[in-house]
Amino acid sequence: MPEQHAEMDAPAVLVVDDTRTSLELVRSILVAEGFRTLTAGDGRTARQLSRDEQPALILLDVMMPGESGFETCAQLKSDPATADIPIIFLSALDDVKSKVAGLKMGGVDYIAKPVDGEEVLARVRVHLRIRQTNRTLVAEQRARVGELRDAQQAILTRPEDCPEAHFAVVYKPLEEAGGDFYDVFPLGDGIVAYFVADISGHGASAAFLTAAVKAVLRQFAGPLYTPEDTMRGVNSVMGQIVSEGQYLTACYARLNRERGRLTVISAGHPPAILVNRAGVPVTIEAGSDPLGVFGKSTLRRTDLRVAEGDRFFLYSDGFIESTPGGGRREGLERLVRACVEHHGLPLAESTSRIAAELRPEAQAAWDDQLLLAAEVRS
Amino acid sequence: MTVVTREDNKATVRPAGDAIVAATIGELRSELRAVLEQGARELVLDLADIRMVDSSGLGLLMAAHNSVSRAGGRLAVIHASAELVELFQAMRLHQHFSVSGN
Repeated sequence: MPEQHAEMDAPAVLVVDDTRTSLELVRSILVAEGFRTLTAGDGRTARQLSRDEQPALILLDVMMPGESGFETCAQLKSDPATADIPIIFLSALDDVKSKVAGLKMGGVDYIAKPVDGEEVLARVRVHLRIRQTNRTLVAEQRARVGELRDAQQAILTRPEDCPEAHFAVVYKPLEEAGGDFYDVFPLGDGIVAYFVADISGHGASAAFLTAAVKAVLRQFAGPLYTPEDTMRGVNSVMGQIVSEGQYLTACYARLNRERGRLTVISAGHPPAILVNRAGVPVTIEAGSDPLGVFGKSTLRRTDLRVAEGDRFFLYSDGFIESTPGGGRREGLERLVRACVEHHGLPLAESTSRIAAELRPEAQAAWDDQLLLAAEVRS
Repeated sequence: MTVVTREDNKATVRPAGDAIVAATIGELRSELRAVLEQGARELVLDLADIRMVDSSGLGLLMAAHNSVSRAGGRLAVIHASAELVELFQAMRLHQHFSVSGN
């Protein structure tokens, strides 16, 4: 690690001691080596300076009148603005008990008084180095997690990418990337595919598999495949990829605009909802097995007549559950009511409203949340 | 603590706590694996105290069903709450293994 130079952006060390001479001694040791220093004669000033100046390290005298060094430490650790600043105690109390107390309090090190110049410098350097490494790691982690989110976003179709599909979507993964997935794409001849899937679990391992689902789906969708063929393909390939105890549910809706026909297959997934142009809702129960888990899965499809202005909604169970696995019936009723209530609004706006109503921001979530809405339009 | 009762080749497993969810599923998974390795062919899962099952829990049930079926046996879920029975039925799991309520 390169020597510290006394530059404006060099890390500052805050020295806290009620005894002027001690304070000056430690300060001069640091300044001689090029460190930038701040000083305080009591705990209160120390805390103020820490909040305002954000020093990289604090050398804190233990024996101070009024607020002791331990008390100051406790306060610094309980304030989010200063909790991460490492603290080295300085004390004439050289016994093990005091040292242990200091370390338990949250200090990272303990230097006995009278201080030895070389020892102070050595310990200060070690802890500054550790701090630097931690910051680098945190920044790298943040970048990596951001990459995961961007990677998942890249495989999700945006409404503007497929205008002929006339769809809107709200997707809120629980973590940076989630186990919910959707895909919307044209199959030719005025037929559009809408697909929503929920890979069990959430977080990175589930998110990772969404890319595989997209690939398999695209491969098995198209004019040559019936909707059942598509789901069978997804079931078969995902069954080979997922780990033990992992599965996915999915809802696949194929809209043939020219014929006015909507075909839905729902594999272990909550039912799709249709709200016709008159605002009348229909819950599309099309129960098939979850995918990726049973070798021979039963697939059942539902065919409906649809017309211009009708809307349909696909979503994940994170949208309707009130506890893990629970409250689905009430959640579904609320969702249907919301879909009907906001039917008169433009599609994108009504979708946001429905989402906000069912899942207010303030509410704690434990699962990924996905709502996809589409309108039948020529 | 998971409670396991054995009788010939039948094993009844009653999970601890009130939830079969990702955070706490490790112990149940180990117990199920153990009874299967010990040769249980009739696997009974007693969900008497269970209020919540998330997707990890459901996945574990499906995996247990697959494992015991492959070995020529079968899984039965008993004492499931009304809400859980509804969930299993919504996912058509009752077509694969027996599910009964309180």
